[in-house]
This record gives sequence, C-alpha cells and structure tokens, in this order.
Amino acid sequence: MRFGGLTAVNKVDFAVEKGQVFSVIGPNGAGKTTVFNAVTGIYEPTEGSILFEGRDLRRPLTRRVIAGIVLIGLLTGFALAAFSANIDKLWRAVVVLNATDPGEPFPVGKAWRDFWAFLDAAVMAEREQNRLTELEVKPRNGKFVIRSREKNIPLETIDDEEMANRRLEVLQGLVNLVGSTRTTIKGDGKWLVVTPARHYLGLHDTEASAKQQVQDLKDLPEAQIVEKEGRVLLVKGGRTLATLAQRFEAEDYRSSLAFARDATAEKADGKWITQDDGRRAVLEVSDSREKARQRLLDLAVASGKLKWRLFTRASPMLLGIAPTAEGAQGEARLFQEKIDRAETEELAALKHAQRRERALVWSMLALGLGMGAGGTFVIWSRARRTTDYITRNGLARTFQNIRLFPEMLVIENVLMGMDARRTTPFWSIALRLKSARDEESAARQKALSLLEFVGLATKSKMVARNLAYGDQRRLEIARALATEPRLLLLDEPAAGMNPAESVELMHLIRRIRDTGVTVLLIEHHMKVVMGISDRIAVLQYGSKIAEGTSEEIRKDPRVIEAYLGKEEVT
Amino acid sequence: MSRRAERKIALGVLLVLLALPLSSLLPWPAWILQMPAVGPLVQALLSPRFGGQIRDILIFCILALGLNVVVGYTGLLQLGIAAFFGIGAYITGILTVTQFPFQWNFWPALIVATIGSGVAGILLAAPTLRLRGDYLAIVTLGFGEVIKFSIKNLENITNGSRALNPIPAPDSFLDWNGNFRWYYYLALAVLVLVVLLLRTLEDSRIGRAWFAIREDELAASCMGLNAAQVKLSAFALGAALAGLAGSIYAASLNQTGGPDSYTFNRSITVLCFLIIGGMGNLRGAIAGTFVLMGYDNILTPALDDWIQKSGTSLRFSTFKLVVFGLALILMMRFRPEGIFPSRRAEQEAE
Repeated sequence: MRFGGLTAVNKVDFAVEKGQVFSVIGPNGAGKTTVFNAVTGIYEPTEGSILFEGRDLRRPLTRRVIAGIVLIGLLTGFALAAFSANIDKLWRAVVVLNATDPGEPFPVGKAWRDFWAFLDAAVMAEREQNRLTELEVKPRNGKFVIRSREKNIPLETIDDEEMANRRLEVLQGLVNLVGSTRTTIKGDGKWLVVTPARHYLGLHDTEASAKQQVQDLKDLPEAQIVEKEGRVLLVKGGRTLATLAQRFEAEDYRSSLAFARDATAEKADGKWITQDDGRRAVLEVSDSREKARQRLLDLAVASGKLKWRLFTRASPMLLGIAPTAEGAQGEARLFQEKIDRAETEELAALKHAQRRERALVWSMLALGLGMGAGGTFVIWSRARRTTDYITRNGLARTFQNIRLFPEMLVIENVLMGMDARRTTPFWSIALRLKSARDEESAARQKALSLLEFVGLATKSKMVARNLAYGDQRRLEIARALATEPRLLLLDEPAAGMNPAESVELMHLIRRIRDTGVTVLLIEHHMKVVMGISDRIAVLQYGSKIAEGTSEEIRKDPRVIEAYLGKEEVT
Repeated sequence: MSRRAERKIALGVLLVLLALPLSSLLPWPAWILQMPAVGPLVQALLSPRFGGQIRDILIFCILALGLNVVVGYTGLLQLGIAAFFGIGAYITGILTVTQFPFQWNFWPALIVATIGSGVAGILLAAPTLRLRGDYLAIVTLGFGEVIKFSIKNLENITNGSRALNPIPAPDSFLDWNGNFRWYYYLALAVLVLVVLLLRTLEDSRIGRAWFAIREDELAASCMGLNAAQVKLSAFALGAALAGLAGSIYAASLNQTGGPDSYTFNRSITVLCFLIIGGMGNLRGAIAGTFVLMGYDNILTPALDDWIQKSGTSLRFSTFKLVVFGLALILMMRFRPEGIFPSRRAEQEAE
C-alpha cells in the first residue's frame, strides 16, 4: 500500500481463521488502520489482494451493469447529438412546421418523416425555400392583420375579412414575384381599373376599354347565368361579361367580384406598375420605380423570402433610374438574374451546411456512445471494491475516531446498519403499505435487541452525540453488528476506556465471537489483546514482524524490541 | 412540543388555510367592514388578490420542500432549484398549449412534468456524484444558468422570452380562471400530500439514508449504503417536487412565465426560505416560505398602501431589501438554526 511515493504498509500478510479473535498490534504509525482501510475498501491496495471466504470482494460484471453502461453511453450520445443537431431547428422542422389548427389531427407520419428528413440535406433545403412565402390573415381587435407567419411581422391592417383575404392574395403574388417573372412598367398613357381599397383589376391601353371594364364590373352582380353550347355565360343587357365551364363557377365568379362593383378607371400617368407576367395581372402601383422595387424587396424580406438581407441592403446600387420603359425592363431582368443567382448559391450553401450537420450529428452520436459507455466502464471498474459492497458481503468495521451519525438517535444509528439489506421498494414506503410498516417494526425490534446486547437498551431514544464516550464505542459496535457481518473489524475499541469498561468490552467481544462472528481487532490495550486474542500479528513500520498466539508474541524478542527498545548488552 | 401538540397545530393551520378562500362568501356585517382600522384589513383579507398571494406561497412551499430534501436532508448544496421549477413549468406548457400538437389535458401533463424534472435531476446528479460542498454548488449554479439560457434561446420550443401561452384550464366543468379558489385548493391539496409523503419518508430507511449521508458519508457507506444511489434519489425527489411546483405555478399563471422567472435569484430566495425557517425539517421550510413571501408579497404592498394613505410620498418597498438583509444578519447572529430547528432535540426529550 503506497501513498504517492510513500510506502505505508508493505508485504503484510495474515490469515484470519473463522470464529477466532485475531488482533493486530503495533506502535503508533505502524500502519494498522491503513490495513483496515485497505480491507474495507476505503483504499484500493496498490499491490496484492484481499480475500474474504476465499474470494476477492469485487462487484461482479453482471448483465445489468453492462445494460446500465450502454444506457449511459446512449444517453450521452443522444445528448451530444441533440446539441449538434440544433434541437431547436429539429423541433421546428418536426413540430412547428407541421402544427395544425386545434382540433385537427397532427400528421404524425409526416412529422416522423420530417424528423429523418431533417437529417437529410436536400429535403431540408427545399423545405426552407417553401416555407418562406407564407403570409396569413389573423383577426385582431376587430380588424384583420396580414402578417408573415414565420416572423410575425404585420404588413397591413384591413377592416373587412374578405378584403383582407383578397389583399393577402395580392401580397402573396407580389412576394412570389421575387424569383419569378415580373415587370415593372411605366404607366404613362395607360388606364387602370381600381377599387377604392386599391385593388387593381386591370390595365388598359385606352380609356374606352378601361371604362368598359368598370361598366362590366358594375353590371356583374345583376348578370344572368345562361347556359349555351356547353358553356356557361354571364350575361347582362345582351353583353357577355364572362364565359365559364360550370354553373357554380359562374356563381362563384359573380359573387367573388361583387366587391369590385364600385371600381373606377384612372389614368396611370407618372405611376409605375408592377405586373405579374405569368398571370398578366396588375399587382401594385407606385409613385416611382424606386418605390415599386423597394416595396417588393421589403415584402420579400418581411415574409422571409429574401434571407440574404445583405443582398437586399446592397440593392440600392441596383436601383438606377432608367429613362425608358425598355431600360427599366432590362434592369429588372438584371435584378432578376442577380436574385436567381443568389438563390442558387444560397440553396447550394444550405445543402452543403445540412450535409455537414448531418455528418456531425451522427459522429456526435457515435462519439457520445463511445465516450459515455467507455468512461462509465472505466469509472465502474475502478470502483469495484467499494466499502458498501464489501459491507453488504459480511465485513463490518468500527472507527478509531468514532464516526457515528451524531445528530441521529441511538436506535436510528443501529437501524442505519440494517437498512442496506432491506428491500421494500420506494412506493410501498411512500404509500405506507403493510409490508413496509411490518419490515420497519421488525427492524426496530431487532435494533433494540442489538442495543440490549451491547447494553444500551435504555438509551435508545437519546441523540448519539450526547452519549458518553464508552457508550459511543459500544453503539458503533452495535451498528456494525446490525449489518450482519461474518467478520467484524474493531479499530481500537478500548481507546479512552477506563479499566472497568475495558473488562466489560472484553466480555462483549467474547460474546460477539460466541455468536459466530470472527473478530479482527486493532488494539493498544495489552490487557484486552492478550486476554481475548486467539492469534496476534505485530506490525512495525508497515511490515509484519511477528505472528502467533499471545504466549509466542509475549516472548518474541522483535516484539519486545519494537515496544521497549533494544537492550544493549555489553 | 410533543407530536400530538404538533399534529394539533398542523391541523389548525390546515383548517385556517382551507377556510380562508371561503371567508369572502360569508355575509360580513357592514359595521365590521366600516370600522376605522379593522375594516380595511378585513376587506384586504377577503380580496381575491390576497387569496392569489397565499396560493403563490403554497406553491412555493412545495418548491421549498423539494429543495429541503436535497439541501436540508441530504446536505448537498444545490443552487439551481429554479431550473427544475422551470423545467416543470415548461414541460407542462409544451404538452398543453395549442401551439404544439400534443395539447394534453393538464392532469397528465402535471404527472409528466413531475417525472420529467425528476429525470432531469438524475441527469444532473449522475455526473456530479463525486463532487462535494462548494464544487457541487458551483455545478448546480451553472446548470441553473444553462436552463435559463436554454429557455431563452430555444425559441421554437419555448417561445423564448415571450413564454408559452395560454395553458388551458385543467378541466372544463370548473371555472378555473374566473375563480382563484380552485388553483388555491389544488396547491393546498398537493402541498398536504407532499408533506405527508415527506413525513413518511423521514421516518423510513430512505430518509435515514439521506440523513446519514449528510452526517458522515464514509460511515454511511461503511454501513453498506450505496452513497451514489442515495444522493441520486435525493436529487431526483427534490427535482421532481420542484417540477411539480413549477407545473402548478404555470397552470395558475395560465402561461409558463418567461426565462426570467427561473433565474439564480429565485434559487437563492428559496434557499433563504430554508435558512430562515430551519434546514432539514418540514415545519421550517413551510414557515420560512410563509414568513419571507408574506413579507415580500403581502406585507410590503400593504405597508405601502397604508403609508400612502397617510399622505407621505415615502414608499416602504424601496427599502424592503434593506430590512430583509438586516433581518437575515440578525437571524444568523442570534438564531442560526432558523425558526424551527431540527426535530432531534425534541425527540430525545420524549
């Protein structure tokens, strides 16, 4: 047994026979208590072994231990993976983006697929693209707010729900334009059809055709539905306002444009018109081209379509003034190309990042599993010889400097010794089931009989701290006996006792031996040692110098030398 | 104080707490309410605001009892109890709000929150079992901060500083939000159950194991106790009780409260409840919570009102912390064991 470079105990070997009292004696600092600490597992011996009943007291490597180690490894792995996967994003991909309205079933299968898809680069990148254009209408304080779903940025507030929904369509169209075909054209010489709420319904080259549309919109609510040659016509005063395939479509069309009955035609001179090239629909009219473009970008940023804000910030340099509509269109195309390029690059970067992330997640999972399981195994295997396991295997001890539980009652101290062997589960204690109560009262009964055995029965309700010194020693012995040991290690039990108490202690130790418990004793008190020991070992400077019966030891010259000093014969 | 007397007092306190929210239903005669000094006091005691404050105190009693298991019984200095309070609140929030697909009822969410924060307690305790004293305190403090910042930064899960809301009422046939009494009785009932549970454990081998670890860990392991298991169980139960309190707290607020409700400050306040009340016993934890929270939430505003009515612009709340600090210093000087010291000395006398 070494501490750092210091050898405390070296090559001490002795065998304790069953049913005997074996004493270890020696001068102060000889290493007696260190031997005890090594035996009871407080220290791990640097060399050599300690056998009890023919076997080494080490925790066995059971299936349960292995399962525990693997479980800890998995937990560590999942924790690390969760950190590296960015659990916040994962939650969003799986739960937030799949969230449905209350009452509707949650798409579990889709969420599960998304969970795995989250770890898959391409799908995730596409999702990021798709979710960006989401705008929604939310009622608030009797009005209706159009806002971006993701970033919760309010864009416009409108009084009427239907109007708001219509406006939403327009804005969504606008947002979608960033990244698809659209033109901003000069309105000079053109005519717009527009409602008072600034819904743009048409763009005309001549005043007459604009006026005609206005008249048609006015007439539409009163239009008759006429079926003719397999088609459905909306007719008013002999003029066909619209042609549709189905009757319900015609009805829909008629009612859906009801809001536009008070549209007017106005000149578009000096205005800039943003037009959807795909649908040939006017989306917005602005005072200047800069405003038109800025508006588009603002919307795009607010709705999250443009994630590359830097690009947006840098856009003023794009917003030059073209003198002609052709120039404006050319520039718009340029702008479009730039957006497309940025989008492609963004997508590629996103895919790359996702791929890297996925690799990181899996490697972290593996790393955590290895580290967690490996580390736990190392720690476990270093602590296979621990005091609690040794005690439960029938080896109990007392301490040289008394280590009771000072604030606890005497009887509780003894009960502590028994508790490790008790098996009632937590819930039966918590619910005060009969089995738990029976076990507790049986334990108390046994504790009282143990206290009686050492002569403390009358003091069972005292606080341990308040006991007399000798009583504390005996309580420690009772507590050690409560663990049902087959070998009891007593570390200087007679220290601080008067002669009468020592004699009593000797009787007690004998009685303990008579119950079948082997006793290993460290003692200074020679009278006690010689009186009860079957065999004695003598330690000096960490080595064993003699072993034998009390008679042999008494005569051994090395022992006499150790205790009394060398006799110089001249 | 014998056990019988103690039981009588506990029963008395319980009856008062049971009757308190109902007292405003009684027809109080007008002459009492109009008496010069007594009238306003009685009116204040009858107001729902007062009932709500007592409800908060009851919830914090559960939290203090949870901390008491770890710090008082087992002697492990734990400075991050607010984290488990927050974990309980947020598990309840995540499982119940309409924003997420779970949309559970409150009752199963309460149970899951309790178990969940217990598991979190184990996960924190397992790697720190070998630490003692100050070192463990630092680790738990750090854990508290980690949880606070996680709540703040996991925007998609916790809504960040906006908190998760609304947490729906536990069931539809009682008027939970229009009437403060239901949450009050819920907190009271849970508190009584927790006290009964801890009383039982105190006298069982589980409680004894906790005390033994506090008194002398080496001696305890020489008695065959697995110190690691004992510490884990204390941490788990303490965290579970904190989570239980957090879950009820969130329900009574109708929302989880932002990350700033679960700061280090709260952990320390709860520790102060225990220090003032007396470590390691139930009465102490409850008394400490009532005294300190009563001072902070009830007495201080009442004094402010009273001073303002008398016409001065002085506000007591500006130096309530000074008074609190002084009281703490005096307490530590003259009665360091708290209002109610441990039961041991009395048990001996019996």
